[in-house]
Amino acid sequence: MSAREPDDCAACRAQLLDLVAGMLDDAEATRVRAHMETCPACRAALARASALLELAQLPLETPSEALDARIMADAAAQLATRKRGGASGGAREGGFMRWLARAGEWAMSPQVAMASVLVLVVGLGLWALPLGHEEERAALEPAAAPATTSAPTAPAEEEDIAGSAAAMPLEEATAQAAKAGGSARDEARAEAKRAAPRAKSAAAPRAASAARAPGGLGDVGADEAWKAMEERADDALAGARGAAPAAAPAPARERAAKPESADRAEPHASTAFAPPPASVAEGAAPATQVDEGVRLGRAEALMRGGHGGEAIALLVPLANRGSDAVRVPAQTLLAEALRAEGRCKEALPWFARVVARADASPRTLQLAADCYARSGQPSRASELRTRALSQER
Amino acid sequence: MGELLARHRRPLFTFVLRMCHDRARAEDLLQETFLRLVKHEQTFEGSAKLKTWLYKIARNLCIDDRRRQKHRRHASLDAAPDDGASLHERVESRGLGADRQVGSSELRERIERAVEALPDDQREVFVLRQVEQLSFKEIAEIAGVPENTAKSRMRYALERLQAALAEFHEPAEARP
Repeated sequence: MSAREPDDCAACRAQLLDLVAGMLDDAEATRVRAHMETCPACRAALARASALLELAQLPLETPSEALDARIMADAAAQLATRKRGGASGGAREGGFMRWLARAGEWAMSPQVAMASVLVLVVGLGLWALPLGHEEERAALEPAAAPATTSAPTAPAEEEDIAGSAAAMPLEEATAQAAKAGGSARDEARAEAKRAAPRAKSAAAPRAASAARAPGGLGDVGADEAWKAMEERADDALAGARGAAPAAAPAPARERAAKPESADRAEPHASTAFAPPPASVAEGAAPATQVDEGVRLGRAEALMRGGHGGEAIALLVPLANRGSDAVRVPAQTLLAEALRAEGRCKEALPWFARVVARADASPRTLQLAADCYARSGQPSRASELRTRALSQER
Repeated sequence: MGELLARHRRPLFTFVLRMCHDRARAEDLLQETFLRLVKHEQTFEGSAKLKTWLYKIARNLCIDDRRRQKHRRHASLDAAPDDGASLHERVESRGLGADRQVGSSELRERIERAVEALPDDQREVFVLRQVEQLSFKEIAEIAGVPENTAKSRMRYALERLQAALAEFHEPAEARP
């Protein structure tokens, strides 16, 4: 007989807790119960064990109502992001979409943008090769044309050279012109020399866009087109130096203005912890509520992950200029994030805004009270704590 | 989602609150639990019960949170309330225990303290069993341990509670 046989009172009592907690299998439970029927002492012990379990029933706690709203907002934002297939949500799930998202981020980098502009300008310069430009031809040295062995076959007609050069790199265009000989070669080399320094200048994008403007090369003869391009490029250059001429085409002016507005779109987080002046608050707002919701969720996740600084950077624009639905939660989170980072003084203006609302949650009130207490305002802290407690009751 | 939230929010919140001892953090963790549920619902395997999966997420978040709290350097309202009150005292002071069916507040307090004093691994098994009535198989899956280990932890937890409540049990033991 083993020590755990139910007819042994000691072994039976050792299994009482297992029995009442449902940890015994059917056979063991049957044996223990059989012993109970014949042993009043063990029966009493079983009653006590059952009472213990009953006493130790844990009451269900209830989270705040505001939490439900936060959770539903999170879920809605997440689902919307997934439906859009955006880079921040569903796109990250799949391998290809993740790659696409990274490629998109890479393509938006300033280095890639500059390189693209350079290629565009050189390409447009070649495309705009003038034919029969005597002055340019005379200025060139006859022996300067390089001879290459890898150049593609040159077209028979000179006029074709200028047209085909637009679609190929600078070196190939020059080599092709050299093979074709005659005036077309000189023109191509002249353009190559002109295009390279122009591409390096700050006005290059504007020169290129000016060259593409209506009434450009496609509509007039080669010489006129060349002159028109030069004039517009000069105008654009002057404009870039702060003296844009009135004659500059409107589209070129608009394009030149774009980078400035883009710079204003995301203010630097480190300068905007306090509620900003009206002029700053009027800056570009986040694109959509879904985007805002995603940013808010990301900021919360960052906070929980211990990346308070990054969370703060995300929250500042939302707290300043977010839509009505997002601004208050963003302000609340921002205040909490600043407090968690030990920056109570910076958090106070935000807490002041949030607790001024009648629907401020008890938790926020408690956190605000903590900040006020740390900042040497005990009476305000006490007032907020009292308010928090009264709300919780 | 609304239905899911309505069904699981209270038991899940109770579990998280018992694990992290702080209402605000428990709410944050609960929010994060549901967010992760939505984010990763495509990876949910039909073979697992949704409830088990939810608790597994919540448990992992609680563990992460506990680690973070350990490493937090500055004094925090969340981590250490000014008055040093226990979970029980804080909960009672906020009037959340009104529905409790225990007559003696002293006994209730003793139970709360005993549950709070349980080691984390025993407490999580105890709470999952007592709050959600989960089977030990499910609890084992959530905790990532063999079923017998889950049962052992429950047994140890009950023995500790029994010891903590010994003096309240003495009169009962004297009864026939």
